[in-house]
Amino acid sequence: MVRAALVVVWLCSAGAGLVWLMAYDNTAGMAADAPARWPAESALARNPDGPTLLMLAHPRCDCTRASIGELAELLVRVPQRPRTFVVFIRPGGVEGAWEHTGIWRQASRIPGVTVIRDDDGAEARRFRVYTSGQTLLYDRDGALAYSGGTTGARGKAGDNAGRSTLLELIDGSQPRRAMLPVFGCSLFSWSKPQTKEQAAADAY
Amino acid sequence: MRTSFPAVNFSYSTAPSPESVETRANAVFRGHQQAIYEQTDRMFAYLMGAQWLAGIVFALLVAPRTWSGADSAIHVHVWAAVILGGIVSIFPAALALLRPGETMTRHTIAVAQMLMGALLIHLTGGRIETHFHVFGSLAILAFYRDWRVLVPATVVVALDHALRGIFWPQSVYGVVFASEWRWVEHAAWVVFEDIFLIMACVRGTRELREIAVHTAILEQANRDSARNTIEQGELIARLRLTQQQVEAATRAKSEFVANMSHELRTPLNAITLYSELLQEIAIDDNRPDDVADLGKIQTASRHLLGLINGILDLSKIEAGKMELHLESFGVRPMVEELIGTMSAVVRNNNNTLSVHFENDPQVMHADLTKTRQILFNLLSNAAKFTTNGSVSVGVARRTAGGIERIEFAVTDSGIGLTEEQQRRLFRPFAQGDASISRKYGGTGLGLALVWRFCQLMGGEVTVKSTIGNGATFTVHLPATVRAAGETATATAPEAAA
Repeated sequence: MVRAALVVVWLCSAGAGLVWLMAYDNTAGMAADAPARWPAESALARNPDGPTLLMLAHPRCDCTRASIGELAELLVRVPQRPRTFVVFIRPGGVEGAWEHTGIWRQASRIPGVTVIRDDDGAEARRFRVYTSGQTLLYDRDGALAYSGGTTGARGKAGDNAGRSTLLELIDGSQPRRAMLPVFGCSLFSWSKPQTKEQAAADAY
Repeated sequence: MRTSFPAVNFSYSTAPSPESVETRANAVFRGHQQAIYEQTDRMFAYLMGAQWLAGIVFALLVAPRTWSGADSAIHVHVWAAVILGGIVSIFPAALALLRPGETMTRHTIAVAQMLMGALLIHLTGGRIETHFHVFGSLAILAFYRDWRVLVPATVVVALDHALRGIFWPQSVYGVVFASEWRWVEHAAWVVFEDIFLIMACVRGTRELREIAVHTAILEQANRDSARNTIEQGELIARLRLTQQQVEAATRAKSEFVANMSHELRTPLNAITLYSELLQEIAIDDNRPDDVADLGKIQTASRHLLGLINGILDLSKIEAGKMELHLESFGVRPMVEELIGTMSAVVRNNNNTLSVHFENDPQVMHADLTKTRQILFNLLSNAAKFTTNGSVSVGVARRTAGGIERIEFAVTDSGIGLTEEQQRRLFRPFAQGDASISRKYGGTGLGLALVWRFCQLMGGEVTVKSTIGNGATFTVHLPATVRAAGETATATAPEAAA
């Protein structure tokens, strides 16, 4: 009887642990409050003749490997590649080639992708992005068409709503703007302001 | 599941009870099964530990830290690998080590193995390769040879897929939108493997039962064999003791007979000599009645002397004191001399006597006296049991197996012998039957001595006969009797014919 009770307790503990882990992986990061139009102060050059795709990423966030992998998958599938930037944040105070990680190299190997270092998260602040893997799509007119991630959960590669939506937006089969969750590490330090209001205030 | 025993043919000389074999087979089967359960439990205990460690390594390799700007901390997956992996592994591993072989232990292990699969899949980012852990685990669970453990394992997999399919379909199917019944497809593949694993378990269990039955049978046979060996050993010991007693008694008897024979011969010789002296006096005194009476005394004395001499010879042989006096002599002269001596005896019953030399027998090296005695006894017998018939002696020198032998065949056309008579013919004091002794006289020692003399010289004597059609006694003696034969002791003549 005691052992049966122990088995039940064990089973519940293990089951609860797995459910918690599943829930954690499926909990989205802080969504971007991206400007509706391409910010003029951005150092990045928007494509005036077509859509511009932008992914803000943390170079040391392992979940972002899956996001960049899905970005590569997306670019293979689109009929005509948009101008694409992967912007890796480099927080202030870090030393050396802090941002030159495997994830940086992974992004650099994607044909047609421009990899840029974002010192102290200046571009991330301009685009009001807080979570690694946040992807923004602006159309040829500079209007925001998509804001969200390219994976369906933390670090999980595979078919997902973000990638499918982006594909449809780029090939024009979906005309409406879409906002989806993003899964990844925080771009900014826990010790820095984390609320959208604080981040926005910090950016401007 | 209760599996019936395979049909086994219980055919034994000692006829063991099938019930006892089946009871023992059941015990052996349960022992083997329990040993398999316990061994597999221990294997899983180590596997649980290894998987726990592997999960931590995976987590450290795939996502060691989580980041927030320049700050970092240990990734949640690492903590999950350590804590959740520990929860999943430690309890079943402890059961496996503390309660090996129990039903609850292996069922808990089956569930744990599937939970560990789910955790590992998660920690490796849902890689398709890690899903093979599920199928591999099912195969490893089949080590138990208990198909029941596959049931909770399969239920856990199906439940995991069903729940995740509802709440987080991408985590399990890799697609955003999936049918709510897609878990059935996944579970069906697991069941597909289960079917073959169940077949393997059932087959393994059946083989285990067959091994148990054969082991029980073998044990029974070994027990019987051991018992028989002990019984045989006891029998041999008793026989050896009896043989020693018989040999001692025989030696004592032979010594007694030899002594008695000697003591009898001394006065008998005196009787014979004095009766001869008295007969000569009676002849001189012309007392024919006394001469006849004294002749009867002499005849009786000689008969008695012959009998005593025969007994003495037999006793010497049985006591191992009979010696051979080997010499070289011509066979033909010896036979012809004997024929000359015996012709009158043979012709007494109106018989004819002939001798035939198939080839030149040349010279043989043997005991002349005993060789002559052999032929004398055979011719005496032939003459005794043949009336108005024929007695013949055939002599030949033959080579067989590189050994030269002299063959003497004494054939008569007398009364012949039955098979039963032939079987005990060469035993001492055994004639064909009691009526023969009464009708034809004799002591039954003649052929017994023939047998023993042949044995002493490394030869043999055989007889062929049918009742009413005479008999042929054939003696084979080595042309050169070996000196070693001088010490040979005659064996009991049980079936000389």
